[in-house]
This record gives sequence, C-alpha cells and structure tokens, in this order.
Amino acid sequence: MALVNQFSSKRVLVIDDLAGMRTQLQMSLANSGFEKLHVVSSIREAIALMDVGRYDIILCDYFLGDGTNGQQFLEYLRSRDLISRNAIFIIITAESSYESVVTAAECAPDDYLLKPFTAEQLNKRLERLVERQAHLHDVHKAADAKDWPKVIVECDRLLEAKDKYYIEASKIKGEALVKSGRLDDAAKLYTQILALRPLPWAKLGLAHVAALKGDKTAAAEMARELLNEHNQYMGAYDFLGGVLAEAGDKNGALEVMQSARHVSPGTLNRVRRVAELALDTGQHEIAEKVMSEALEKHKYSPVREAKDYATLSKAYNELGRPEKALAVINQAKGTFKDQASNVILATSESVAHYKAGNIAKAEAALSEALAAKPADLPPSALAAVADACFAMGKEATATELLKQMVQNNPDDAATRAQAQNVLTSAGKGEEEAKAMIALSVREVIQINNDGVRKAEAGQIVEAVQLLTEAANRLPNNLQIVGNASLVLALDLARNGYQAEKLAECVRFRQLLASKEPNHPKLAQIDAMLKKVQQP
Amino acid sequence: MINELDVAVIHDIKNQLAQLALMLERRGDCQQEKAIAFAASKRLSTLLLAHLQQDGMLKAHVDTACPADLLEDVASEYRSLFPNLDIDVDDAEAPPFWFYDTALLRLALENALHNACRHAGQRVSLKAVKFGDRLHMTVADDGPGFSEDMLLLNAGETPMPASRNGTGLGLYLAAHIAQLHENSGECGTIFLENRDGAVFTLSLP
Repeated sequence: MALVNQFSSKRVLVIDDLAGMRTQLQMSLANSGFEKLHVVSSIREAIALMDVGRYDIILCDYFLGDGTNGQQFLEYLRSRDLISRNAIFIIITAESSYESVVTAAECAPDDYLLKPFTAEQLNKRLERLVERQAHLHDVHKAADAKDWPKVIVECDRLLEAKDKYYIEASKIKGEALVKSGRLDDAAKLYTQILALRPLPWAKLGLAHVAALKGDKTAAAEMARELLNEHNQYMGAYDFLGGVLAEAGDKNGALEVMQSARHVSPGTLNRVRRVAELALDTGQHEIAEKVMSEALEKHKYSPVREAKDYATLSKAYNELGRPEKALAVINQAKGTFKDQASNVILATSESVAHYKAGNIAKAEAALSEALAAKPADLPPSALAAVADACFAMGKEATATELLKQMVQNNPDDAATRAQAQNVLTSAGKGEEEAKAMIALSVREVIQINNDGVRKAEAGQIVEAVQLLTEAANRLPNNLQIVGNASLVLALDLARNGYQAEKLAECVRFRQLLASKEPNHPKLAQIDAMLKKVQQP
Repeated sequence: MINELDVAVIHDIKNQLAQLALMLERRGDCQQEKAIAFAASKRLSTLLLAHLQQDGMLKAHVDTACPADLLEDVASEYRSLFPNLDIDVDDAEAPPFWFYDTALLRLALENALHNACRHAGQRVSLKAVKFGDRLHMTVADDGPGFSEDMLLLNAGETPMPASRNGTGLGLYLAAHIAQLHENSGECGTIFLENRDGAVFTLSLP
C-alpha cells in the first residue's frame, strides 16, 4: 500500500477537452490512489483553479480545442512563474502529432504521454516522476525562490551521487551558475558535459555564456552552428534572434525568428518577437500578418495580452489604417481588467485617434493613460505610454517616463533595451538614446549616494527626505528602497520613536523582503530597528 | 510501403484496438485480453512509425535517460501480457544514465520483447550493461532461437519489412532506431545471436 500513500496526498489537475478522456484519466488516477483530483475541460477553468490552489501534478492534453494548446499553456504558466518547478507537468499527445509537439518544446514539460496508454502505464510513469520530484525537490525549491547560490549547493549534493539524475542536475546547475554570474564556472561545466555527449542544451549554454561575456559574434556563431546540426532546436532560434537584435542587427534577427516559425509556428512569445522586430525594422505588413493570425487563433484564450492588441494596432497605424487600429483596441477593451493592460490599450487608442486626426479624442485617451501612477506600471506599459507621447509630440513627458522606467529597474537589461527602442523609434540616434539612458542610470546612483553621504554626515533629515521620496517614486529599485528603510531606522534609533516614520520604515523593509528575501540590507535594518526605543 | 489511405485506416484500427483495450481494462476479469488488444494496437503504431521512417521523418531526440528504468518499464508491461512467463531485469551492471530517445528505444525494445515472449519457453531476460564505450541492452529468451534467415541480419542485410512470421517489421524498425542514435561518428546497431535461445542486442554509442 506504499504506492497509495505516496500518491494520495498529491494534488492533481487534469485538463482535457474530451469528456471520454477525462473520465478515463479520472478513473485511472483514482484507481492509482490519487484522492485530491480536479478535472476540467479548458485552460480558463484550469487557471481559475490554479489561482486558488497549488497542484503537484498537472496532466494536460496537447489539443485543447480552443486555439491554445498544452505546450502554449505550459509556456504561459512558466513565463509568469505561475507554477512551481516542483510541479510535474505532463503533456498528453497522440503519436501522430508527437513529432511536432516535441520539436516545439523550447519550454519542455516533465514528460509526454503518448496516447493510447493504459492505467498501468500511467501509474508507472507517475511513480517515476514522483520519485524524480522528491529527488530534485530542494533544488527546485531554491530555484523557485531564485536563490541561485543555494541551487548550486543543492545540485552539487546531487551530483556527488553520480546517479541517474546526474545530467539533469548538471543542466540546472549550469543555469544557476549563469544566473549568479559565475560565467567561467558555467562554461567549464558545459564543456565537461559536451565531452560526454554533444547535447544541444550544453552547446546553447556555452553560447549563452559567450553572449553574457560580451562576445556576441562568437555567441551568434555558436548558435548558428547548433542550428546547422539541430534545425529543430527552437531555443537556439530564440537565442540567436535575441543576440542579433541586441547587437543591432534587427533584420537578421527577424529573419532568424521567421525561419523558426517555419519549423514550428510555436508559441505566442515567438509571434511577439517577430511582430516587434517587424515593427522595429519597418516591415509593418509582417507584424500585421503574424499578430492578427495569432490573435484570431487564440481568440478566447487567456494567454493573450493587452500588449498583443497594442502591437497589432501599432502595425495598422503604421500602415496608415487608423480605423483598423481603433477596431483592434475596441475588440480588446473589456477583456483585460488590470491597470497596466488598460493603460496600454488607452495609449494605443490615443495614437490611433491622433493618426486619424481626432486630436481631442487622442488627448482624452492619453490623459486616461497618464492618470496612472508610473510607479505602479510595469516597464512594458511605461514604454507604451512613452511611445504614444513621442508620437503626439509630448517629448518631455515621454523622456520623464523613460527615465522613471530605467531608474525603477536598475539592473534589468531588457528594460533598458525597451527604453532604447522607444527612443530610437522616436527618431533619436542610437548613441543619443544610449546617452540618455546612461544619464538616467547615473542620476539614480547619484541620488542614492547623496542620501547615504548625508546620513553618514549626520544630516539625517535630509537623507530621509531624499531617499523616501526616491523610494516612493522607484519602489522596484531595491538599493534605494533598502537605503530608505535603513536611514529611517537610523533616524528612529537616534531621534526617538515616531509612529509614522516607523510605519514607513517597515513598509520599505517589507517591500525589499518581498522582492529579495535574502537581501543583505535586511539584517542591517533589523539591527537598527532593535535600537529604537518603543514608547 | 503503404499509401496515405492505408495509413489513415491503420491509424483508425489502432485507435479502435486501444479503445477496446481501455474498455477491457475497466472490467476486472479480462486483463490478459486487455493486454493482447493493447499490444496489437502498439504493433500498428510500430507500422506507422516505420512509415514515418521510410519518409525520413523519424528523428531521434537524444537526451539523458536511465536504462534500468526503461527495461523495468517494458518488462512490467509484458508481464501482464504474458503472465505465465518469467520476465526478469538484470540492471546490476547498468550505467546510471545514458543518452538516447526514450520513446523510440522503448518501441525498439518492446518489439524485441514481444518476439521473445512469443517464442520463449518459460523465461525472458532483459539486461543493460556498459560494454566499452557503448550501452548494450539485450533481450534473451529460452526458445528455439532465431532462424538462419534472421541471423543474416548480422552480415549487414536489412531485414524484410514484411517477413512471414511478422517479426521482420519490428527488427527493421529497431535497426533504424538504433541507427538514428549517433555519437562521434559511431552509430547504434542491433545484432541477433543464438545462445540458449534467441538473444537480441541493441548497442548504442
């Protein structure tokens, strides 16, 4: 009965649009001892359940009948960190489509189940996967927390055993080494793996290291070589496209991403890349074509984003068809509830009105977008608003928004690239755009340093004022937020308890802890807070 | 070998057999019948794969995998199909991991195991062992052994896809699946020999 116990506590979610298949899976799983079982017919229902509960095992059919397949659903979940790495995700597929399913898998599930299968086979497979889940549990848990040094330690522990998980643990360790900036160690590990077997992921790992070390030419060369050998390795196309785009060769990047789409039409993320590159290179027809096709296909699917409609709307605007651009936005309105999406749509609407010559309507829509507090918006939404401001001649507002965006995400290269993109499409030269971004970065470092210096010089009041103002404006800049909390604690310790200041200090501390639970500044803040005399 | 219409029909029959197997599974009293229907369905899958192979559409997605797990998985399936046979797995000298396309290798081994079980007296043995730089997976039975025709395969002859006793297709596909596994210029192979019965070996670089 060990088996029953092993499975009985696992929470399982089954997603299949065919009622017969759902019944079969439900019976098989119940017979195997699973007690916590939910069975749904669509991605929408699955997301609703996943919002309120955690699942250990997700069994998802590849063809779900509503435009979005199991693979795309998995990518949606993983790219938004909606499932733990400890969750087992299994894609069920018919053998006739197995080939296309597997080759498209840049974001691979834990396993594939080929139809038809018996209860016994399913049982056996789940047993193996649960065993693997238990084995890799600590590694995955650390990776969920983005605690890369811990991931490396846990992987090393697993690697000592040289057991059947050796290669898998090496792969995870390689990613963790890259993420924690230990590029030479990562390269060494990938080279060791390649000596065992020329595995594509290890080659791509080496290319990744080269790119991060700044050698984009070598990285691109390695990716091309990899694609010559494995022309169906989708991850290599995405990587190569990214490297070329970063190096400024957007036409080359678009060509690569288009050839990827010939191999596998793939996921919405790839469509997004193609459409964005097409817009950036002035090939608006391509952007219009790929995005309108994708949105038609995923019409009712939760994997769509407001940004996708904004992209299509922009393509129509550029093609001189603002009426189509407006129609696209109207279609999207009401579908998205969150503030960032509404800002993005209002922004697109304003540009479309502007292009159609309805200045009053354009201003109204833009005011709606500008009413949101910039600190509450993700970089993509800020970039969209800035883009619209440029289009409507409001350059000062646009640059202010971009500055905010860069300063609030100081270590994010993608955000800087996005800002750079907005600036160059607004007609700024490459060098000018780079200089503007660099200035924003320097400015925020200056604010931070001034605050710290003032605090050290005993000018606590000024330091508090400077840093709290900056922290409220830039809640994502952890250095600023951490220092704001620290100077507030210092103020409280030196000048005595004040309820409001303490509340603000704790609020910043929580903000820091929620984003980086192991941030070294937390201990300093806590030590200082201990010195505060409570009334 | 087969045209598109045949493919569609085979596909339907395969699914109907699988459906039958699943219906039988729900009844507690016909597990062997279920296993027979299921095995028949899988043999049609083999045929369809061989068709893919002929069109050059079959590709190996090589990744790391555990040979002992693979052997245990196929063995446990065939234990319910041939409950009177003693099917054992020897993984004492198996390497903890190797590199291959698990789905394809499973097919190749299942075909070999199917043949072994049909001809075995009482016993079938599966074994994985590291042999120099290669992985050898063997399926041995205590039956009458391979015919002379079959043993010709070792001399480099391609087995006929449709031989009289029905084992040809499986071997044909197994040979191709082995060949799809390549490392440093070396390819996978299969070879057949007779010891105390038939011994099928799949050797991977």
